[in-house]
Amino acid sequence: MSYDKNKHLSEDEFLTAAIDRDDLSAIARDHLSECPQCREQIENFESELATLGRMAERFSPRQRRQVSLTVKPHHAGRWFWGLGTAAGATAMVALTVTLLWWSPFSQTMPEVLNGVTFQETDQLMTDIDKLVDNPLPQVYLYIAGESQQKSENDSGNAVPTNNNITPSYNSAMKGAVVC
Amino acid sequence: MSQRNDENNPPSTRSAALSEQTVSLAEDAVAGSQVAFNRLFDLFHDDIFRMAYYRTLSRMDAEDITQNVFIKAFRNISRLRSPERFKSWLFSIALNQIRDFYRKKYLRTMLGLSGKDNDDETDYEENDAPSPLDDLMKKDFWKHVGLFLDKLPRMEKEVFTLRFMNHLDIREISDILEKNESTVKTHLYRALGKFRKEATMRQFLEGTQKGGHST
Repeated sequence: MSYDKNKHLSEDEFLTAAIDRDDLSAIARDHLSECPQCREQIENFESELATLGRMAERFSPRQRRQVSLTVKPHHAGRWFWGLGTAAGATAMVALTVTLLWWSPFSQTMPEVLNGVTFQETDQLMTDIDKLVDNPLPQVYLYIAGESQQKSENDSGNAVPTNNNITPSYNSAMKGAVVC
Repeated sequence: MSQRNDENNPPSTRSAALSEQTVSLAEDAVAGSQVAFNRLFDLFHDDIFRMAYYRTLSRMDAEDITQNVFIKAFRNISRLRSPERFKSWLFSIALNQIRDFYRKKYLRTMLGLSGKDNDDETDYEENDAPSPLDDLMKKDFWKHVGLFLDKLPRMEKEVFTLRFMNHLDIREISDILEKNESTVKTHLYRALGKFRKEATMRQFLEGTQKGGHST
């Protein structure tokens, strides 16, 4: 089929040429190369599209905010720090438990503190004796004017007497007389 | 092949030399060079910003999207298998971020959580426009563009915008949209056919050309 050189490009060919001239048929391509009218129309059309692009670029605002690449820490590092924190917390808990376990307030290790336990038992008995014999603390007995009787069951621990009471303590009590 | 239509390529700095530089930088960035990535950022952050702006018409949103795009690109650059397609890859990240933006915006609107609407924020700040006439032209331009693009179906709008406003070639658009080139050309063909019939906009562009206000 021969192509009529006087027939210009169709609308379809026109648009195809605007998109990609390689997609034109050979005949249409030849016509385009030989027809200044068609060439001018396509170039004007392409120029309008180029103007559209330039104006879009020109009428876009400028970026005000500086973009910063604040990237979160890598997951491996986060995992590492998380493990470290957990280990530290565990160590603190263990230390706290150990300190409480070894504290003087704890009486759950008789096999280690036997000596101290026996001493404490003696002291307890002494205290009980004192309560029976002397229901009032010594300082009150002194205030009341009662004499201090040394207990015969005393295990040897000195029963606190008036003399044992420090002057400062004694003088703090109302009506106390320092010997 | 698409370089045959050099007349369709806008007068920009996207020369073959720049493409080679991009590929070289992308290769270095994939290998772990932060300096190379920073250089790529310098080369493309304006393009990505404009791409986001054309679709949101909000400077603030476009800046947010741009930041997210590059953060995501930075995190995933080591996974880029074809450094020669860095530009398409970057733009496809941008497109996904824009879609996410609209998805979240839609959800916020549905849940009644949307705050101040930025639709009226056209960022026509006086500092951006050198003169009142320029400011008027800017508003007119975006009004015409908006009216035309709103008439196009989604895919035609996207292809037309990527081709003639973002200055991407057919191959790049094909990579970004994950469509074959003939499909892209088909959409472009339909969009151009409608553009040809858009007399008002064409007159505006023609008048701008002849008036010497174009850059």
